Amino acid sequence: MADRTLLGVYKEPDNVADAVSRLRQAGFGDNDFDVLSGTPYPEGTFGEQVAPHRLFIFPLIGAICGFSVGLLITAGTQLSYPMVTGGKPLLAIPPMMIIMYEGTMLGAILFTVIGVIFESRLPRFSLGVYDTRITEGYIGVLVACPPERAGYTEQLLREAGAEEVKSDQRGA
Amino acid sequence: MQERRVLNEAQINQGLLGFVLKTPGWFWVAALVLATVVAGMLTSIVVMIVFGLGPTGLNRPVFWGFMIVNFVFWVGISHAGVMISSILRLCQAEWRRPVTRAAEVLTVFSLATAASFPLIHMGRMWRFYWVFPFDFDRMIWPNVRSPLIWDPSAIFTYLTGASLFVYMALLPDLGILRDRTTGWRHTFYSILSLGWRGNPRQFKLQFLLGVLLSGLILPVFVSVHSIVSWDFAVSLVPAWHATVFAPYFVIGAVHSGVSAVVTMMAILRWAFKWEDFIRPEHFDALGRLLIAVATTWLYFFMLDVWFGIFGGESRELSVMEQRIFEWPWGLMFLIILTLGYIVPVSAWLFRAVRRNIGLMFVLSILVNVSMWMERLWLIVPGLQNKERLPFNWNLYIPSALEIMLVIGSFTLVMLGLLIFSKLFPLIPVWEQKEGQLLREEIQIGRRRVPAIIRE
Amino acid sequence: MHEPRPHHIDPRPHLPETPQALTVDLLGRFSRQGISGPLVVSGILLLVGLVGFLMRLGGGFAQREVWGYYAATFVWVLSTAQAAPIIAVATRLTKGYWRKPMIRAAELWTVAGILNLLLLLPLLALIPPLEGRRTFWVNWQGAPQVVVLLGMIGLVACGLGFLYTSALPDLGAARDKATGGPRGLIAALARSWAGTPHQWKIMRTGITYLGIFYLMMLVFMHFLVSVEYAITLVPGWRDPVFPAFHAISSLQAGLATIILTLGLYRAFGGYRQYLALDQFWNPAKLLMSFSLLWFYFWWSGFIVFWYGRTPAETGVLQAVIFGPYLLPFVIGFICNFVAPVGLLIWNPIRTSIKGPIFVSLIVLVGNFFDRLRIYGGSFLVEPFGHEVEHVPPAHLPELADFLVIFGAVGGVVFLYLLAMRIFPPVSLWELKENQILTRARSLVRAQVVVIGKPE
Repeated sequence: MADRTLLGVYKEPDNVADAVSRLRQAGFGDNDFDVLSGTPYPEGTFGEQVAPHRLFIFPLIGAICGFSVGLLITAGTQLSYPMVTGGKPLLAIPPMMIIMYEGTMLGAILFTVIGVIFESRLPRFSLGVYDTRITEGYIGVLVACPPERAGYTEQLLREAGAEEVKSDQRGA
Repeated sequence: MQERRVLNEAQINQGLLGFVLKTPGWFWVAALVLATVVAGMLTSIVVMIVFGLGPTGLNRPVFWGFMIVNFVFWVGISHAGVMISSILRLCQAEWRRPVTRAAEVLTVFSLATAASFPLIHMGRMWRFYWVFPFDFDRMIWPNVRSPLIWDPSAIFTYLTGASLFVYMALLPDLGILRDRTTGWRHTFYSILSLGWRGNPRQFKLQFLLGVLLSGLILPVFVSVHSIVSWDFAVSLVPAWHATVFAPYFVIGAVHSGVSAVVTMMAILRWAFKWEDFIRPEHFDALGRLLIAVATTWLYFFMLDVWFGIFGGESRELSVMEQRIFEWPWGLMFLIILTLGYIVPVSAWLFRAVRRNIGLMFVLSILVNVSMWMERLWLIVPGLQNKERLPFNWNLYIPSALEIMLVIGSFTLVMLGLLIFSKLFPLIPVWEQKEGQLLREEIQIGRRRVPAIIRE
Repeated sequence: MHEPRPHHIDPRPHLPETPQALTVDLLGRFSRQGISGPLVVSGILLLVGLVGFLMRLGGGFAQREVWGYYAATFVWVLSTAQAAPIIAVATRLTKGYWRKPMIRAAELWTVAGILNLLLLLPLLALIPPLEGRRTFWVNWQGAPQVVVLLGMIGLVACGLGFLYTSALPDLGAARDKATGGPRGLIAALARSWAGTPHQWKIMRTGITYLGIFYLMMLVFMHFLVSVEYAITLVPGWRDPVFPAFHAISSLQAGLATIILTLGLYRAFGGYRQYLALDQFWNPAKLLMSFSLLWFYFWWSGFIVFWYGRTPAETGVLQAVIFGPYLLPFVIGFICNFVAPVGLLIWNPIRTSIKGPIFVSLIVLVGNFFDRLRIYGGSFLVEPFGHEVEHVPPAHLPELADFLVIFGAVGGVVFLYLLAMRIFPPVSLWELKENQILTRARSLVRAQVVVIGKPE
């Protein structure tokens, strides 16, 4: 059975922290709820926990890939058609290093961006339950719960001071 | 320093997104004027496609003129963006907030403009793709020992990195725009925002992105202008073959770039009425930064000049003599020193000047006039060959076509910025909100001291 | 938001709660610091060095190459101990709030200049006559000697003034409350300090200016020394980036010196609770960027010579890189670039206390070998002519050289320890100011620090 999603919209950060504690007390885990805001609050402001990420692996992999491509382009092309120019050795290390360096950095940058998108769990094709006031200073608390607990959860969000609680199955 | 009003998030949205959401009449006038000049530039390019390099003032031995000077100049301007936004991000300087995006966007447009100049200069620009290793049939590859191959690789990396940086840092603001628009614009921003919702994880990664990309782009930014400088320095042309060129070009780029950011910030403040966001304290901080940058630039400038003379080689000396004592280079030398250092730095030493936006605007333009001239002064005299066989001597007089290209490049960048600012906010809205959130005041005795919140 | 900090190490120092408790604690430590043992040991080393110095002096000045190790030692001290105060200047100018507990440790290194001034004296005799070689001084006989000496005197005087001005409030506190140390001398030094707003204002302005002058003098000394003792001695060496490389590598080594000093403070000085992760991690980030800059400046010089490949340029590369001093060069390259970057790029090493200390040690060793290849190589070749005709084999170190190297280390440590007895080695007033301006509080559920930033 599909879970229902509820969104409580709050005006004050204190109420959000309250809602988060109440949700915890009611047995919701860190993966069951999320806080949505238009401003980055310092980590842990609402007592929320951010799951660990592996972003730092991405630039490393990217750098290795970029370096390899750089090596392939510089060494491979010169070896496949050996032609001495400018009196330099065929595999002249200083100029090769420059292109390999750019390759490394390009790889690292591309993979960092991919890593951030991936670790942010983007792109999301549907916003789901959402309120446009969130980008205007309000803070949303998003809870996924089994349908039978929906009423209880809504009550809980309201008790913490929600101005409005939205649901993905209105009137259901 | 109580210069700012406290705004709530809705007011910040309104202030910063006003121009994106509503179009004032002057936008069309400005866009039309700029587009007309850009059309003139495009016409010049068409002339060059048809007639080749003939209509320019380039000759033997001065093969590199205004177009290459302009290329170096715009690559230089492009350094401001990343330098400012990365260094300030890494140092967590609070005053970066309104500056970063505008600076990064300036990077993207000036770099793209810069990159177009070697292409225009190539003569047969439709063959630019020969710099890539594409020819698997005949197995003819680019010569990696030539700096002319390093250039595209560096600029490609930098342009890609800077554009991605701008885009990724835009995500939260695209979310805001998505929530404030309807119709096709809503669809446009929805697609671009990738479904951004603003949960703590996304914001945390957004912050890490800033740190990581800043750290990665800074070394690229240094390499780009170094490689541009090696286009000159690894040759044996007198006055070009100097080891100092790489850091000297980089710091010169930073000098002109940060000044360009000052120019742009002043224009943004005036055009968009962003008095609440771009404040005298930001110009103050930029001015102080510029004192340090300009002094470092002067150090490298002097090193270059001193060692040109010190070597005692007649080839070097002849170029130096020409650059310092002969018309018009001698006058340029004086202008570079006066407008590039003496006048602005002595003015920036005064707090009242640094906080006077009109004066800062004028000074920043003076710096860039002198920096453009500096590039010309560095590049052309070495090529005129005024030493060996007299029949090899030649002067360089730019043609109207080249002047049109230079003027066009300025309007091209401005047009790019104008269109960007119509579509996206040039000040990061979410960063502005964060700054507001982290701002505090603490009471010490009778004084209220501004403070910031740190984790 | 902040860069992720490791949770197992406490990032911030634990200071006594109130300014009074802080004063009592720090002055108590100052009064009973047990540094007599190290003082005696370093004093003996200094005497040993003096013996080595006399032995070297007995050999006379006729042969320049035997002085290579001596010159490298002098420049090493200039590049490490004398550069360490720059971190105090730079962090003050950029208002880095983590600087407070470590700033005096850096400032105290200015006293090392006294020894280096003495070390410079015999080197003055080694500057060859101006005829027949390249020089900045045209025909002004004696100019290099006079200018180098005056520059050094200026640097040392500026440094001591900087230390004294910045320590004045603490000397006042020590005069009033300390129970140990040379109290008469402290009272005499702190004579008129009462802490009036006027005095504070003068003092703050004073340290800003003296700090900037110290930085400029140091860069100038690096220019003079690298030109007079390296570039002009090697014919054909026209390397404008070299003085900048010299200064940058010195800033790197200065940072390493201060990190190592802080490590010793923490391990043996009893200041464990004052120096936490922030005081090692932040300099470590800087150390990593300076290691990258080390490579960048070296590379900027190298690639131009490598591409130029004229006989003069290959001769220079032979003399100072690929010739008889290849081994010191390789050691320097690894210890100044490969190892620091390779180690500090890893989060667990950079974000620790032991990691940066270990890397600093490597950098300091590397810096010595790097100076050795420069000055050893430059002292080997004949300074006359257009290019290096012949590079003789390296001069191997003798007993006197070892004695001088150890003596120099002992000497600077001796001076530093002496200064520690007069000036409180952790700045009281900076920490007290920090206490006034910093408040811990909670933002909803997060614990944050509020940092006041008065203009």
